Amino acid sequence: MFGFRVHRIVGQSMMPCLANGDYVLSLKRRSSYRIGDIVIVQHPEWGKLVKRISSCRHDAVLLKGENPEASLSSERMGWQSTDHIIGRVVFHIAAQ
Amino acid sequence: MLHTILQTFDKTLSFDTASAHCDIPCKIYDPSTAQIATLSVIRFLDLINELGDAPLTLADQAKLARLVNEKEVHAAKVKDEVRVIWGDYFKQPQFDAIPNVHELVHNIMLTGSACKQGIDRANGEKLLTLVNTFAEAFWKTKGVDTYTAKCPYPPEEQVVYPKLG
Repeated sequence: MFGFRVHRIVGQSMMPCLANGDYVLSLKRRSSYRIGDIVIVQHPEWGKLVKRISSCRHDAVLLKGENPEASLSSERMGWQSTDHIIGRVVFHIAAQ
Repeated sequence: MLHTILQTFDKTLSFDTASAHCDIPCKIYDPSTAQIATLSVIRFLDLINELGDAPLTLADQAKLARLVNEKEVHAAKVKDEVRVIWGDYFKQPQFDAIPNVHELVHNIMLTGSACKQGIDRANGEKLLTLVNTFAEAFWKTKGVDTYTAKCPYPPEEQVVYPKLG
């Protein structure tokens, strides 16, 4: 609704920022995304991922996990078209 | 409290999950799973071809359906197992040691697809040759010698094994 979507976080690759079981609210941006944004991405190989944008170019972003020990590397995820971005995380509801 | 409310909604609405999880970098890599899957593909090809061209009984049609499905699954497994080793284990030092690995992996992908698409045993044999070459290259990067022997079960083909211990 209005581009908002709720997602439940699975895994530890965004620790300590996002933990397993947390919920996030994402919003589809109409303008460009920025370095540092946490985004939900529909990756063609890895499925729906939540990662932080580490680098941008006009039509694509490079992603990284907060926890390198448990995250796909940026190289493996590769540059992702902004068309694959489902939304930017705008609200975080931590598990108790 | 808000989290509890969302959990309640989640049970009925089933919110999408966003994965903050991927490979645990456990460093456990072994091409044997790809080799066994390849042997399975050859075995399924043999069993399919044994059914022949004559009209099949209902029981044989059911058997054929299962064999084709398992061939599909195991050929995909070969591709997946090789892809993971190439994508996760191989880094620049390994690429330098095995400079033709990209072409080798690509050929495995193509031949794996051919095995899914048809029932020609030659494709299965070619896949085994390629996967054995990949296995040999993998063990070489670990400084482990290999030897070739006939596997002690159908399809009784030549397989590259590491010399361990």
